[in-house]
Amino acid sequence: MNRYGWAIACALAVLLAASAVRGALGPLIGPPSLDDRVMAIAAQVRCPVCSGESAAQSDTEPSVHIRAEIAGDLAQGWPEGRILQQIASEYGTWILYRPPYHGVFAVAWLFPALGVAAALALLVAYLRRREVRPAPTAAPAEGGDAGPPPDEELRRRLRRFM
Amino acid sequence: MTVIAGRVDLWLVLALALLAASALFAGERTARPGLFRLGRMALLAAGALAAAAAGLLIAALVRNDFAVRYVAEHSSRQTPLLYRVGALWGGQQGSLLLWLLVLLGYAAYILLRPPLQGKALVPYASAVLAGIAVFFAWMVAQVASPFVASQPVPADGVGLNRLLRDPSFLFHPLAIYLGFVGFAVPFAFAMAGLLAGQTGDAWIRVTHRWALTAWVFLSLGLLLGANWSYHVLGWGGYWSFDPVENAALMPWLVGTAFIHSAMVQERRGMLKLWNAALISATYLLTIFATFLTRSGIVTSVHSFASSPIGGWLLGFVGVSAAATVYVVGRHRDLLRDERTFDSLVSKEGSFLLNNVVFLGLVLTILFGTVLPLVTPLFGQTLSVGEPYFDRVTAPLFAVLLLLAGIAPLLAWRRAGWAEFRRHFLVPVLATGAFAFLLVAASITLPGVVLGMSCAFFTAAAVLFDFGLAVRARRQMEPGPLGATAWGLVRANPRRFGGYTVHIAVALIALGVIASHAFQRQATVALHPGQSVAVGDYVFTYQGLGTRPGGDGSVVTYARLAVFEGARSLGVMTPGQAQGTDFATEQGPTPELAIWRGLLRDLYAVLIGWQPGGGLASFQIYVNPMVSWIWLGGMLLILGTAWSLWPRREALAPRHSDHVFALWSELEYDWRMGKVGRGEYEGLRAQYAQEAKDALAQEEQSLETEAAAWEAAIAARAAELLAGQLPGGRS
Repeated sequence: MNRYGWAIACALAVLLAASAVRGALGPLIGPPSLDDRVMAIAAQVRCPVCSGESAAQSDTEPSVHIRAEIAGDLAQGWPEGRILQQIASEYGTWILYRPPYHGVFAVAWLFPALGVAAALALLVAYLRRREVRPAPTAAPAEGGDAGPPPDEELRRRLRRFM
Repeated sequence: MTVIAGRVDLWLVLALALLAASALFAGERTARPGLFRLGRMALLAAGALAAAAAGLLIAALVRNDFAVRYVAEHSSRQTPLLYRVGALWGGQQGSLLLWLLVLLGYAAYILLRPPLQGKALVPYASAVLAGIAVFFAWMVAQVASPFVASQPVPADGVGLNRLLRDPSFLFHPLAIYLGFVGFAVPFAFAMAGLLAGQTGDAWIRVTHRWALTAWVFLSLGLLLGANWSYHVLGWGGYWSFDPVENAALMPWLVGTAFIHSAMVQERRGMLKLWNAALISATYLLTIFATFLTRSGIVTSVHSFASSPIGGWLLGFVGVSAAATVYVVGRHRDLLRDERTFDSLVSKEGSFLLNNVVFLGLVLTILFGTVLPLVTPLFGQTLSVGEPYFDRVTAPLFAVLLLLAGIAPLLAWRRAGWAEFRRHFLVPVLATGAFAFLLVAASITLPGVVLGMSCAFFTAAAVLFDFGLAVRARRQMEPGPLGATAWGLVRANPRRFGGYTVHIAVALIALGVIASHAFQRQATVALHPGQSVAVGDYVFTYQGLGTRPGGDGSVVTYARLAVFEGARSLGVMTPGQAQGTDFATEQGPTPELAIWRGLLRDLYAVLIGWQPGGGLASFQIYVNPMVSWIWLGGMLLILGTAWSLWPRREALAPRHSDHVFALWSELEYDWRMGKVGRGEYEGLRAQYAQEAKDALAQEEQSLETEAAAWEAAIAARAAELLAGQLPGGRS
């Protein structure tokens, strides 16, 4: 088979595999239902009256109310961003687990960049100011009574580590 | 009675730990072996007494001795025996006692079985551990003692939180403690190396080995915790970037960075100060994490009631940090690197990048976790949750996955660009095909395709490299494929143990991505006979039933018939357990129905029902590929255990062993086409010379040692003879 033959065979194999994967995963990767979408948005909103639970996890009345609100908004065709904005304007920005990208809240989105930059700065500073001290090399044997082992010996020992 | 005995016992532990710390330290400072022996005995005795204290508390828990307040608050007559024992770590004071016990256990281990290499570091290392033990002994003896009397003595206890009555609860905290406290040991060895002025090979090896030991326990603890959250809490997930989860994750991340950068020091004598800083940071983070979660300053599902221990823990973090900075600063000279980097396109270069990303990740999580503590100072409280962490950490985790695939394929020192390209062509092409396959199978969310491709690349690259190594070995020594592969894995446990861990991480990543992206769910109220479709599955509610549950509770369950298309899969029975020990004053606890599968889990929660069998409400999830996380987790533990398994060479490598190991790796790299000819020949000549010198020197030192023994024996014999002479002993 020439090069093109191989390429075509590979492409066919991938396509076959893809249809097999689709067959196996099909049930799992279908489009999200309305319920899925409501919960995905509710998971980004705090339950107003509990500690450490989202509006998706909690079954308290305010959370159920928020979920109903989200469902209503979705039914009207609102995008996720607008729904979250609406909730934030009703309850206050604190209710969002994921702060908005604007204003003081934008700082939170700089954390990864700040973190990596800080780590990088530390490392660069470290590598720059390093003075090197050569390792104390093993002193050759004195007297020479043992004598350096022949290369055959070295090879034999090396094999144990292969 | 128990209260007084326990209290006295813990004060003795405190006194002994104090004695041990000072005797061990002074003994080593002034080179007096007598003081070392005294300190050693004191520390071992402290360990025994701490075990006795734990025994006393367990006995009180088992006997339902409610005169002890801790027993009354964390156990009850109805609590099953196993969980009465487990209540030892079910509360604040008990878990501090466990912390002390584990710490002293580790100290006893290194005293009784000192590492063959780095034996000289044991006195200082145990002094440091004794010093840490002083703090925790003080905590359990005075500040937050488990031995406090109840007033008045109640007839029954409150009982252990029912959510904790799960087998994972017995092991998850234990593993977490073994990991958390375990990081004190490499930290102690790191400090000991500085104090003893020995910062050579032995120092980093013993530190690395202990760090890996702590790491494997912490990994296990995190996995068990995630699993507990998944199968007990009933929210369909396993990780939520809760402050307590973050607190345990941060030391794990820094520890992982250390495990990699320590290899650079072992191999190349570089990054000494960096590594000392990393392992110290890991240890300090374990204490800081405990402060965050135990002081009650951040709200979390894990936190115990707030108590005065927060201030003490924070103070201890401060004191430890100051002491560490002082010791490291004073001995800076010992931490000079032996050489500089040859090239960033090398294994050590990729480890540096790995360190940057790991640290960036830790800082990000740290910022996010302390945000609600800091922002009120600026007039507005801001706190972030899982959706935020998911988004900001995902790109960093993706970079780490790529590195986990790239690093194994690079040679130490300098990888040629040409070789680099040659090695990456196959894994990259395979990853391209995989990405295409995903898209063709209509998985098109960009984040999912990108993330899964990164994970696939890691696994593909590692397997490809393993394949090349097998081929190289067969060229040198023809043999059957399986035997060659096995021989290779056995000859290089650390390398291939590490490869296994990388594959495990790729599996975990695939599971995490799939379960996040494709989780399907429904919250429904159904009348008997009604159905709901979730994803491609249809659940039909058939009615209620009851069955007896564990420890005397009654479980009300619902029957949910499950169909996948036209195929019946059976009946799920999610329920709720109503305990009979109302002393717990807790509502019913969910008994989830989870059907686990390789491709998806079906997960059903019964939320409530109308008496008489009318409407019942459910939360139903279809969670794809969650099992991959647990399977990957098991593989991760196995791989680490494989690389840690005690072997003679690993425990007491001579310098020549070290050189031969490097040389062997070079031979493989050459045959696998990772290094150029000039590089190979130069290095080979260098290693041959080093190996010769090392062998000659070891022979020499063996002779010296033999001579020393002979002299010692002769001296002793003379002493004994002298004793038998008249007048020597009358």
